[in-house]
Amino acid sequence: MADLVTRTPVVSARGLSKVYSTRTGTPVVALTDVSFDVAEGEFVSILGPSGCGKSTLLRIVAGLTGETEGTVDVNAAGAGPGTDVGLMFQQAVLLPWRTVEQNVALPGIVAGRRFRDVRPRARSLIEMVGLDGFAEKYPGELSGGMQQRAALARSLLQDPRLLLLDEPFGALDAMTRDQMNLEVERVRQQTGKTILLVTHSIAEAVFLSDRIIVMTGRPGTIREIVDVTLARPRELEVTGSADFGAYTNQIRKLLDRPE
Amino acid sequence: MAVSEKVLSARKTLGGGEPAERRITARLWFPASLLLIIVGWEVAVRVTQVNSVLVPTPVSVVQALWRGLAQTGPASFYPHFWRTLQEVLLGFGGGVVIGLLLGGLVAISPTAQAIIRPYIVMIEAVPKIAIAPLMVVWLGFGIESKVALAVLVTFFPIFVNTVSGMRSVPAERLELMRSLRAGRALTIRLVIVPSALPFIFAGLEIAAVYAVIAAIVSEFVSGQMGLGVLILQANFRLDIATVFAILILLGLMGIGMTKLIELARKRIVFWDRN
Repeated sequence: MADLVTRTPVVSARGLSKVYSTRTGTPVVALTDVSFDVAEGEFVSILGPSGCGKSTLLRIVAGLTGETEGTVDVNAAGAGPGTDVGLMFQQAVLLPWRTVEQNVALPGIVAGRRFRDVRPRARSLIEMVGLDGFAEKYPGELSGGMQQRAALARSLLQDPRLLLLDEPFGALDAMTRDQMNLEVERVRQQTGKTILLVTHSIAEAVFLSDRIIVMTGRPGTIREIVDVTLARPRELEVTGSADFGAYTNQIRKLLDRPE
Repeated sequence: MAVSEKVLSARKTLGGGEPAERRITARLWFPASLLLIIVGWEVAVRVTQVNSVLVPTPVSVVQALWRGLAQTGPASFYPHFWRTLQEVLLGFGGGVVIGLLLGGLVAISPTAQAIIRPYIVMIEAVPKIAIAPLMVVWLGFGIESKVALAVLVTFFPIFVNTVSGMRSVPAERLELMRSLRAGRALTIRLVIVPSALPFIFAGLEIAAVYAVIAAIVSEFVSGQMGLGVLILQANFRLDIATVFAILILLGLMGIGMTKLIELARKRIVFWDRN
């Protein structure tokens, strides 16, 4: 039985398509026939150029948008967003009138728990993402990278089985972005979370992932799924290795020659 | 909305961030220029042949102010000042409560929006000052007609700013709450209302100014007491120095209210840097 549970994919998408109707009446096909699985504890990235529907795909998995065709099963106990799925957006989206710890505690408050009950967990997550001493600051006093750290802590508050990251570091400068990637790798190492990341950065995808779903647009469809077998835990040095370069080259070629 | 944006941007230019010395110099410019204007005015009236009854000198204005403040009895400023202040505060308070309630209702309920909005637009199209005589017919010569007009006038900026504030919540904040599966009531309490507060405060500042205007105009129309009545009486007597003295009092009343609202705004909406 335990064996069966671990083998059940956390995310299972079959033949997903999404068609948006626009104001002018001409429908826009964002996704066609996308199928993939994400296994327990796996880190999967969805990589593609802008407009390939990768964010749409994540939003469907998150239950924020409906699919037009196909099915998506999220086996994180009671599918859809909520206590069992943690979400991170392109922007940190912290509420400026709440302190960092109050922001991190937000998913608990929404779930009906009292702040003083959630606070210890919020505090320890704030420490885990390297924001010690900032728990009682307001978001306006934090840099962009620190805000995203707080958002990462918030997404972990309810100890979700699945983390969905929608280009969470796209708005950060390159150096901060590297730091945040290390942070995510560390969090994955420590918590063993299943993570699905949307990104347009090849290096970010290779650095973090076990598997990369390479997409082409438009309409968005899966070009190929690349397994990344670089040893874990990964440090930034790995980005200079020959293997790393081979992966990025392979993926770049896939993106350059859409069939 | 254009007005409230103006209010906000006007404040931005006053905000800190400059070196301390420059700020002190900037602070000295206003009193210095004011002193220059007052002295220049005094000299100009004395030197030229302008009728000093029609254009009082600053000294006579100060004397009139002192007379009004020092004496007791019917010519004293105090009872009139309190009366006008009462009208302003009651009208402002009523307008704020109604504006917040109706604005909140229209912002969260499409049905309320469909029903209420057209009436609000119709009412807004009418210059409310023009309703002042009607208020007298309906509510009499007492304080009620003045308060009613002030409510009517202050209600609108509060209403508009509440609606647009609650409607212009950044989409990603709502998305966040949706991703957490937060219910409507919780989303309104935790996100929509706080997001609307900067707008609401901009509305309050406009409303405070409107309330004073409404009180004075309705006193002009039908007042038995109040600073507006005093102005009319002094004007008929050609006691222009007293008119100026009362204008100063009215200005102080407006500044006092604006300052209080600004103080509250800085404490409550501390995260809004505008």
